Amino acid sequence: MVQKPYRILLTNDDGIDSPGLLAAAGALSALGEVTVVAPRRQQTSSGRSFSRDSDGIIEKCTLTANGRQFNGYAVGATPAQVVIHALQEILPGKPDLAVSGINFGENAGNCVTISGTMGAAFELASAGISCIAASLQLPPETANYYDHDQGIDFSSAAHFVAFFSRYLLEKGLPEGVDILKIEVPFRATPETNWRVTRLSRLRCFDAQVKRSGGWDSPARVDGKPMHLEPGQAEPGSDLQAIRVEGIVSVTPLNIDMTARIDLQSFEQSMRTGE
Amino acid sequence: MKSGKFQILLTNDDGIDSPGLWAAAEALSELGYVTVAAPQEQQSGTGRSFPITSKGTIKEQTLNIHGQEWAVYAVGGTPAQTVQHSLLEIIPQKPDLVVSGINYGENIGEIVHFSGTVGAALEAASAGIPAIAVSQQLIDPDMYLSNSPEIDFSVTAQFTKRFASMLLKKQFPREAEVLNINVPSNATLETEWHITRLSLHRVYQPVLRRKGGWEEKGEIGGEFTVIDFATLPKDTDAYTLYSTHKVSVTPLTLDLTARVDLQQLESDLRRKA
Repeated sequence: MVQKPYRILLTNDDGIDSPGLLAAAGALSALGEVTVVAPRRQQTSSGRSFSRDSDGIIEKCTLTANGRQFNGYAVGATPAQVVIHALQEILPGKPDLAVSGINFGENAGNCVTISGTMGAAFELASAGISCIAASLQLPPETANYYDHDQGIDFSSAAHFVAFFSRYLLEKGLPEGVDILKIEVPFRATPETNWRVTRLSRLRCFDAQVKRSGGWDSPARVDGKPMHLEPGQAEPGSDLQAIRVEGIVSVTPLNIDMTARIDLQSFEQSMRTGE
Repeated sequence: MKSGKFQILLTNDDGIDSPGLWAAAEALSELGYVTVAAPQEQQSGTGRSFPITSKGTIKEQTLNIHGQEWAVYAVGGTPAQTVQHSLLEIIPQKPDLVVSGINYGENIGEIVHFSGTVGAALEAASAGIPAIAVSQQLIDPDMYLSNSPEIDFSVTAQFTKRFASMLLKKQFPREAEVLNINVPSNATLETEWHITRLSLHRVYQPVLRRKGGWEEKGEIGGEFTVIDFATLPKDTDAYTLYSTHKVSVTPLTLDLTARVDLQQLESDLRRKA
């Protein structure tokens, strides 16, 4: 009996030309048929946004990774929009698994809702598709999140993407989990330990404004990895795993943003506050 | 007890020209000193994004709200970027509260992921500042991006002031980082409010429109799905807004960790992987 190959959708936020995307494509090709649909241009930190500036134009291309060729589609859109184009116009049916990444730079703590890598994953999870969002930490001193630094080695991260993708294809997502978020430290090897973590309550990146002149001059709000005091990252958190222990972090996420508190007693306390 | 006036930062996603923003500014000024910094242009649907294409310019301008002059700031960026420009460049001290709104149109269910109104509030929360996102339900979808002066925000402005006052006066659980408030289109000052949770029923469906082939422009919009109230849990924002027409107040968190036993999950992954 011949089993139909698994169908895997691969996307990202760094764009169709990202070496991180190609590394994931190469690793995932051992597990099934991979279709790559990614933004035409860099879409870092676009979250799950739906920009009205997107043109939505789709261009076919051929990508090569690990000596194999893949059908690629470059879309003029944000990562969340790219997912909708992929599901409604490009793929023949619902994929068995979707992977977003591998991102240039970690996505940890309370900044995950800024990340385009995560934005694509939220959109996929909303559509009921099992999903992995994967990111590779960049060395904090030389981190460049925008320009596809060719010196970055994604092979260890690709190993972990394949490892957890195989699990999801065979077993599916656990009950109550919508996304597996994987962070790989920059020093990791395939032998590096991994751990299930929770999101840190800390910012992963501190915001800073880069402006050349007065307020009428162009400026960018940039993120730099936040300075962590010893003991500041919560034990068991994603930040602690990648920044302090140097191990791979696997965080189960849920798309429900409702605060995890007793809603009735919260309502009570608000009413007595009036 | 805090001395001096409360400092409130007010922003939105419909832009500096939104009458919903002005209505909130006027109502909040009764509680403290309000700094208005809002996107220069319409930013609906931008979530908590920080696009690298934003200009980042800041323009100080004067706004006349019911005869009173306001110095306001128009920022070339998304709502979340506007919050950071405000905190890092415009306001001398950390505000006591950030309010985002009043938005043209409700932000319920998973819309909170891509709402710019909510995105600004999430950004404030992640900087450790209590935040409120306020939206007013609209019946006519043509009004969402309109900034139309026909919409009356006076009732929602009073609810904005009411919840802002609660947040300024007392401590809430740390987990409730953002209050997401949705006011029905027909609300009065007497309308009740309820604490709700997000509806996980997909209340809003993406709609793709393309006239020609893939080389032609393809636009993604969205529309609210027709809701069968019988299927909606009664404690959700969607039920509260659409079925009982009450004000919905949902506490949101930035901690999206799944509510599962993490040790159990780890041992399952190790056993089967």
